[in-house]
Amino acid sequence: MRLAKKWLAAIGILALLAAGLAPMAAGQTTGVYAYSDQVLLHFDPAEIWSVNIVWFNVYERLLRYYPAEDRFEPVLATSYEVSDDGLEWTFQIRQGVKFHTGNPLDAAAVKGCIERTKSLGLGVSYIWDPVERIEVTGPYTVKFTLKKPVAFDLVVSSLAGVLIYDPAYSDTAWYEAGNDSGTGPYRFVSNKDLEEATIRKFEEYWRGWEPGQFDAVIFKSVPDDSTRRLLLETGAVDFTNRLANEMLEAVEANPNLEVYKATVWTGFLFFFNTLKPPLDDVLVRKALAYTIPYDEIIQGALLGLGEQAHGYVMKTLWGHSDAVRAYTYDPAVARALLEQAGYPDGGFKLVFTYNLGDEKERRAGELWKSKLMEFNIELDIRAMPWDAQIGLAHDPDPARRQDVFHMYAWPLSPSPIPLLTDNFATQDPPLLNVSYYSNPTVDALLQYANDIAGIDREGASAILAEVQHMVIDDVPIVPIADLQEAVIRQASLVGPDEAFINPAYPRVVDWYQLRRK
Amino acid sequence: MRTYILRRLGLAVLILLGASFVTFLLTRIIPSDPAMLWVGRFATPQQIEAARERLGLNHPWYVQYTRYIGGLFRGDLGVSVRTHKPVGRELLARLPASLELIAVGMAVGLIAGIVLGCLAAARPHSLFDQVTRFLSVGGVALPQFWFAMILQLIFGRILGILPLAGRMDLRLELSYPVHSVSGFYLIDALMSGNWVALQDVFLHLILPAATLAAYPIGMSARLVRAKMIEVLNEDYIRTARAFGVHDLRVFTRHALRNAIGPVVTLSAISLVYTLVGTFLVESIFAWPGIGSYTAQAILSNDVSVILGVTLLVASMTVVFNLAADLGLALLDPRIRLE
Amino acid sequence: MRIWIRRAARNPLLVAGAAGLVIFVVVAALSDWIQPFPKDSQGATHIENALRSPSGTHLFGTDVLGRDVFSLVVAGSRISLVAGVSTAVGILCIGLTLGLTAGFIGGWLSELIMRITDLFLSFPSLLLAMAITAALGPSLRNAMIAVAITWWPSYCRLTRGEVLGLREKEFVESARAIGASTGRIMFRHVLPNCFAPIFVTMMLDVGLIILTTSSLSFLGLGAQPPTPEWGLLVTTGRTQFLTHWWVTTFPGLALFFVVLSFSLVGEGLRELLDPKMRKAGKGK
Repeated sequence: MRLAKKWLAAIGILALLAAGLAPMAAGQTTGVYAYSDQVLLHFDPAEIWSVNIVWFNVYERLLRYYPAEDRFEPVLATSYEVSDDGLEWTFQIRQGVKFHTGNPLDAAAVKGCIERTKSLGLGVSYIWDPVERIEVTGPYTVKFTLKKPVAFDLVVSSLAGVLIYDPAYSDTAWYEAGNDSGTGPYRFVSNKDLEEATIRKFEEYWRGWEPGQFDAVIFKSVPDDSTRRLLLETGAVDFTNRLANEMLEAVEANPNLEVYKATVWTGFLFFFNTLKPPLDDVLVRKALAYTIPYDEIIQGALLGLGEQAHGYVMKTLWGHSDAVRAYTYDPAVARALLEQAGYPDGGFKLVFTYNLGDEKERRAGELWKSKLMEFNIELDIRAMPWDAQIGLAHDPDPARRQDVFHMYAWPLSPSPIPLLTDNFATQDPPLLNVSYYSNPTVDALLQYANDIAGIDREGASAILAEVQHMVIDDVPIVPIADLQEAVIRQASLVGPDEAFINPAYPRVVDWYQLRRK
Repeated sequence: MRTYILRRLGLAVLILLGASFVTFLLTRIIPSDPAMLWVGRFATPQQIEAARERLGLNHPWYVQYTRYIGGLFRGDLGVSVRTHKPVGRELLARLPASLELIAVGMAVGLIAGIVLGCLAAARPHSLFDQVTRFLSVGGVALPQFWFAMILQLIFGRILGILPLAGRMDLRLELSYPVHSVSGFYLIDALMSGNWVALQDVFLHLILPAATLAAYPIGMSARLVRAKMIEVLNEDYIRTARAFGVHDLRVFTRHALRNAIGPVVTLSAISLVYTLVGTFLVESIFAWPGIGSYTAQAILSNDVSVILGVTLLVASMTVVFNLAADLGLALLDPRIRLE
Repeated sequence: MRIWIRRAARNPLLVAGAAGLVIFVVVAALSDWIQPFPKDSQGATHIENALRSPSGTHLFGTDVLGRDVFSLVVAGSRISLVAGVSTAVGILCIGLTLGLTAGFIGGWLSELIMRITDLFLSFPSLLLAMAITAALGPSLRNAMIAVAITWWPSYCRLTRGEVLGLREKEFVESARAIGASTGRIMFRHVLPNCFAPIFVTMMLDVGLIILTTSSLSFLGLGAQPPTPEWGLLVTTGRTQFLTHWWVTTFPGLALFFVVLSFSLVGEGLRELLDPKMRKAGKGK
């Protein structure tokens, strides 16, 4: 009897809620973002290098980059000029902007905050390394003098490390206590550990407010895919950043939800250990590149969320060139190459490591293994925690390291040069270049491209294409696919697509630009 | 009595030291680089080196271990490599969620098991008895992680009457937040009169608690049945019956009291078994307790967390064993603590 | 002997368990012939055939890479059998030897062994096993080693208990009188006499050993893909589980079936051998 009463009560309450009575502060529009991972890591804007979904709405940059149109949007900088030699960049700072702390934004504040970020040396503050000198040449004018003519506009619109904040607040402990000194449309209200965060509208935001916009946003970490899906389907959350690919079919059929397949500038790569036989032989590496079932991996491991990679720069990122050769699954060519290399019947074993718990990587390994069986090559698949995997790759003895390291790669700023440098420039001792590839020509070319990117983007792109041609022929790394991620939202949300699909700022939602219908 | 307790506690400290030492050595076997996990993907070699310094990784292992033990005495369990937060604080914050789940699961399991065991003992070798024995063996043999998923499938997806995961519905958490005083949502919701939340929390507890209850049901049903049958055949019981003492009275007064003893001991053991079993179950139900936290830590090789959890669980084992032994001595005057 | 068999036959649980075990061993032994798609359990993939629901050709359906789940489950039976039995043998070797030594020889050696045993027993077994496999590197072999390391203490203690009871018996005295060495007495005379209850306990435990090994594989710390170990199969089917239930359900069911069979046999044997239980039936 009591149980029956409980059920009745539960149904009654749910019915009330379904009727749309949200008894939060009356008249408030609150957005909810269910995220697949932890929602916060750092609080000090000089330190933040990842998980920007919260801070993107709290702190702003000088410029914002839209790669689809290769366009820079002026945010805290209204305009900028570049000198002919590309070494002097002068930015006009927007007037009438207030920090959440009450202080006004001006050139001195910009200079102060960048210098603090640089001096602390945390996170990705090294992104400011190309800057020789910062000068305040007017109350709202800042001049950067660079050491080399790098693409500075790309630098200041990066994913992290370039947030503009009030330098008057320099105590990390103050930030960790839950305060923020940004200029963004929302201010930080509270958090529950790293799993939940709430932000609320900053009334004096410089763009102003219109009715219908979100008053508050809650970010919640919901690691379980099924739960996130259920929350979406029942309308409890507005957004989620990814769902297990197997669920997408059913979700796409739901008229209340919209699914987007967004390019996220993340590469799916196999790194070959070029210092350990038999992979020290370029013929063997080439042969193996023809044994990988690219389409099957995209269908079976990525479940359709990806495209075959052309070269090492992802599609829609400048520097990408469709002309770079893409390997295909071609057993005949593979066999010929193996024979040429002296392994007509295969007969060797490769140790393949991937990140423990990663389904996509595991399946890719299994699919490749099944193909290699036909060549009489054994692939020993091993799951390892990330730091053990990288620890193994950094073993002083190259012969003890793994043969194939399966890894993702993505850029920090909307520039491919640091990405390529991380992946295959000479590193001794190795860091992320776990193929241990070393080609001085490539190193020199990358350096040169970096140094001219500020004044001659076209020229830099051409050099990068050249570099990719060279490296793909040597194939120390096989680029399998450019990943896509599903972004799912309520169909009732209104706003431009670029507010939540911008590969330069993956998984970020610009809540200011959205409204509920 | 007092010397006994003191001796046991002394032994406990030694055991904990040994446990920490073994675990610490285990984490040092793999060639790993926690500093790389700490700084993340875009770090410079200088930052990695700085992280190594900060995490004390440049010292030889025995120095690191000594520093860790020293930290323990100050209540410092180190910092999680993954979340950058102090381990002690995180464990304490997540412990109530696990305890609530385990308490409910075990309570249901033990009570159900005792009842089943008694009923089965009353009619040995009957059909009911055989079924009970089958179920009790089944409860212990059940793969918990699989059972959890099956329950999710049947009740969450197919029948749709119970929630799939989490402690509370997200919408309700926003509109009827539970003011967490004890960390036990059932108690907190009750104390603050938050009936909506209480309802919801209760519903969310059902499936995970049911999964965890399987083992205690099995264990206690089997044990109670065995002990009851044994006791019921003792001479003094037969005498009581011969004298016409009422069956039920015989049952509860005499037999049950003797049978409870081993159940107390084994509850302590199965409590820890259940605590560890939550590693699997919490992950599946996205339950924010120490189980899922530990599972993540093991997968990302988060040394401080692994050490912290080991010490926590080992301490709980020791404490519960001691409590069980003391409880047993209290219940049964025939037992002498040596 | 015949009396025992007749008694055994009257115990329905024991019969059911034994039948289950026979099925398990037969399937494991004949696994290569029973599998309709034997290549699948060695790693072959067929993407075009992914996630088909159970049908005539694929009794248990196919998984996300197109492999026949029935073949995978059958192949897994051999893996579980071998893993379970080898680990059990390993546990017995270590546990019996150390237990015999502790019980028979006594003295400071016994104290040392028992303290180490206590230490290991205070560790929750799964956690220790997880830490050991993570330390040695995830693989089925390391998972087996980890399980053996966490289980030997209870057998050591059990053996010691039995040995203590037998130490003063006459046959030991006579063996000593004729000049047999300690080792010989331990293994030739004492061991056979205390083996029976230990064997029964082990029977109960083999199922749980298989379960623990599978739990480790479920976490990703045990068998590595594409080994068709049941725990690993359950975890690989997890993300598709709510929409494609068969990938996870059948391996888990097989695991449950096997563990249950072992437990029923163990339980039945215990009842058979325990005099107090036998009285029960006649009492009422």
